[in-house]
Amino acid sequence: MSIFAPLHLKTKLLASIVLTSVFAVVLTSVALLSYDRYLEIENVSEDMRILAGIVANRSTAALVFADVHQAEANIKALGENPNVVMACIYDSGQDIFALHHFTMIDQIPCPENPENSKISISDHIEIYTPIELDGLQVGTLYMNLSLQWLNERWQQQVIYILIVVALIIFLSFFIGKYLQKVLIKPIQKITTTARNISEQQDYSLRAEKGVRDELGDMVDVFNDMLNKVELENDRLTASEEKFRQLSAVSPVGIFQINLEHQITYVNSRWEEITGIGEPMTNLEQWLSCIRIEDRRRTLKAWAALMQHHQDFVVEVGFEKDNEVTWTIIEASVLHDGKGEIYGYMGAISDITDLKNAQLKMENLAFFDPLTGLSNRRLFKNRLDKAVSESKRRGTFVALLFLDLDQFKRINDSLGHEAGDQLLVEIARRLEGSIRESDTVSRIGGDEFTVLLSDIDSSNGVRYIADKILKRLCQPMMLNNQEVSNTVSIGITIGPSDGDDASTLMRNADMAMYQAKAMGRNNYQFFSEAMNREMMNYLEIEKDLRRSIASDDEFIIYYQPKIDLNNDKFIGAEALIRWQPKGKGMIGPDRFIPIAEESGLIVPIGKYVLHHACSQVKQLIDMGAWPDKAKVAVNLSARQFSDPDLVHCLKETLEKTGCPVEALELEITESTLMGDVEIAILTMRHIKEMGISIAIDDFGTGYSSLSYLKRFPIDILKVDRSFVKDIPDDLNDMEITAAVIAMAHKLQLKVVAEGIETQQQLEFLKTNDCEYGQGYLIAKPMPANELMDYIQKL
Amino acid sequence: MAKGWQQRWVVPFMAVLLMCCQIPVCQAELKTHQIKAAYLYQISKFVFWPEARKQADSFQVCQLGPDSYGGNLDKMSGRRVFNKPVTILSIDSLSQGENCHLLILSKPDVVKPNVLRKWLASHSVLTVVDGEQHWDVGMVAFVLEKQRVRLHINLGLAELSGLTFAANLLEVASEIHSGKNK
Repeated sequence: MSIFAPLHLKTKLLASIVLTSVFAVVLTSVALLSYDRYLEIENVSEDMRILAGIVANRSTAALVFADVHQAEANIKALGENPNVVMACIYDSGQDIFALHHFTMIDQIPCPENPENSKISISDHIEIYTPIELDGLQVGTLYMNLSLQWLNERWQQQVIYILIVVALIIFLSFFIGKYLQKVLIKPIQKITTTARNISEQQDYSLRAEKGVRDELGDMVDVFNDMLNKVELENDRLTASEEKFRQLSAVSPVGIFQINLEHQITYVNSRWEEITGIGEPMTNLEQWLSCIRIEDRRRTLKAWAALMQHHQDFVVEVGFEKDNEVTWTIIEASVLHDGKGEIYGYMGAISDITDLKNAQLKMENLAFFDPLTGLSNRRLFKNRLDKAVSESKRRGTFVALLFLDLDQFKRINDSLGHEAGDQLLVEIARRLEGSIRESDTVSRIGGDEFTVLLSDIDSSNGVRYIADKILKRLCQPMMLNNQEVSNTVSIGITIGPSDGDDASTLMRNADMAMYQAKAMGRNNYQFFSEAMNREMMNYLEIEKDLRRSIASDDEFIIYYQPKIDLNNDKFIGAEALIRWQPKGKGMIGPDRFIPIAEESGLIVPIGKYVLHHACSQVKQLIDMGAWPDKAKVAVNLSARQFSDPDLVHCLKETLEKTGCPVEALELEITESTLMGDVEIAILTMRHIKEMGISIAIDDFGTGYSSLSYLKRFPIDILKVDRSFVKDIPDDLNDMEITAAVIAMAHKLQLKVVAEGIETQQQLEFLKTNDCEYGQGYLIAKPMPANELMDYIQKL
Repeated sequence: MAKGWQQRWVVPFMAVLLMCCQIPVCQAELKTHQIKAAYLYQISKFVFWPEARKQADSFQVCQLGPDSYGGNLDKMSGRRVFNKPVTILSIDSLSQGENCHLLILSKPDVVKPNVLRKWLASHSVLTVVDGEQHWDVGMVAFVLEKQRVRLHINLGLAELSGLTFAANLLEVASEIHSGKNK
């Protein structure tokens, strides 16, 4: 069978027909030959048996009468059959009586012991026939026949059969050829059609149906199948075209990889993104283009996909000419129709812009864009790390908190750009003052921190702090102006001062305030006293919050103001007094700064405003409040910058029914110096409402006359610090006189506060100060006492 | 059983006969008598008598004249021809030989051929003589040729007598007379 297997079908067909025919002929011939031989032998045997019988019978007399010649003559009669080789006659004593050889060559003697009656057939036929007379055997006839003629006849037959076989081969070959034509041709047509389809990819081709038999049916079935294949192919082509179009316009690179890791398909976007021009590369070559930092992770993801069929999404960078293309690669396995995995498909997206934006964002998130220093977030992070590191290693960290002393002034006077330049220069100088292992951060507008790690003594810290102070106070050029700036530095040491970042920050902050309080341009180490102060501060803040909520722990006191010329009551300044539950009275000096810092000043301010207006309204209603008298309410910087201020004022006036002309707002000079233009605008709004405005603590700030001229104010209040030293301090007396004079020049009235002595009063009167306020005149008092006071006047 | 007995008996007999045939006449005349006697018995098997003659109770072998077989004829006695026992009878005249089946004419001259022929025409009797010169009266004549006993057959006389010979016998006869010549 294996011999036939590789042969063509037509050869098989031909071979089967020829071989079958030959086998049939040969088998039939062998059977016939055998039968023929058998029959021949049978016939010859029978003939010879009969002949032997006749000869035996004829030889009876010759034997009986001992006529040898006659016996021989009888035997010779057997020579009529050319196949008889010899014949012998034995007498009754089994002696040879007569014999005759019919051939001259290969003569054989008569058998010595004749059988009685027998035919044996081998290559010769031997016949023993008894010779009988009257029922008695008188002798035996022996005959020997050669079968040579039979062999010759057989040889002839074989030759004849061979000729027939040759003829049959010849005939069956032609029959086979014809059958090939009939049977194989339709199959060949199908094969040719299939091959053409395969080569030309033309599924519209059909096999020609030439016959109406089963092969014709096969052609029909084949063509039906082709119809389906064509339909499927059309669908597939359309689908593939759709995929190609999608893939061509896709902003995403698409790739397909077979199980041998060869990249079998990529779209043009893939080539653009990866920068690999040769598309049919293998996976390993592609992955070798990935940044070394991302390669291991990517290979791991691919291995998981290939071994465990886990889809993956990885973010990797391709580095080329020192530029990194950031991408996201997604891949999953591809299944064929039977669910077998035959490859992998995936997409690659260029996220470089996104990544750069992200990096920028991260940069922004952790670095100050102006100075390039780490920002508050990164600083806290590093501080946390440094603290835990110092705890672990038993070393110290020092945190320096720096605040520029005159930044606001420079910013305001030279502009924001100059302010920014200043910050950049400060940052540069700070970085130049420290070791590489230390960190400088800008954590706020003009606030910097320096983190010194791994220090062994406070002396080292002092050295660096001195160095910083020295460097920073060196003048620099901003907008062609020489500017010098100083800083106040608060220093805390961890973990001795605190073993967590927030504590250290708070401590440093506190120390910095201490440095500020100590006159700026110096550094202060955090101390326990500072801490106590801070604890106190926190407690006050906590109590304030509670008191604001409870609404009955604040009391408004009023300090009367009088016209110095006629001692007439012209109004009172509303002052807040605070008595937390279970505690003694706390002075405004203690809690107002805390309230201001914590932002609680806003609700407290509202409380004062509301209650002052309400109580004045009561006094007005009771007829105790003189016309034109004003209640002065202090407006903190925070309140003043509150965009809701005007609305709040209106609402309060409406709610309390207090007439607007009875209200005066005292604004400190420093409050106004923030953003002067906005301050002017706000003051105008207030003025438009009909509320008069007084500048409080005048002389302590840095307001220039040009600003003062533009302020829509009515009254200047000379700060008590100037009044306090009259008449001892000539300087203060001069300032006070100048202020009064300047105010008058600006058409403003002047209130002097803090008048405690007659001399002070006299001085003020002499200098034409219009109004006065102070213990000499009246101490602050509750509303009911104020009514009595006014009535007494 | 009968055949077996015959076989046992015939084989040594025939062997003796054949041996006798080989012996030259000059060595012993007795042998010739024995052979002739044996031949006589054998010849009877190759001769066909009319059916009526087979109805007899015995196969009579008659001798007209002196014993020319040296007493060997008696050996035939008791043997059977066409299943009848052989009887030996010596007669003095033809008239005594009416029932004979085989007649040995040891003195042929005493019988005139014409008489014999006439008698034979009415009697189916096989006549046997010695010597070729007596062929005219003997249907079978024993002739010594080259010291061997050979047979001469007179077919004409046998035909006259209503007897026929088997072809085999004729084949072994060294001479055959049709009988019409004389």
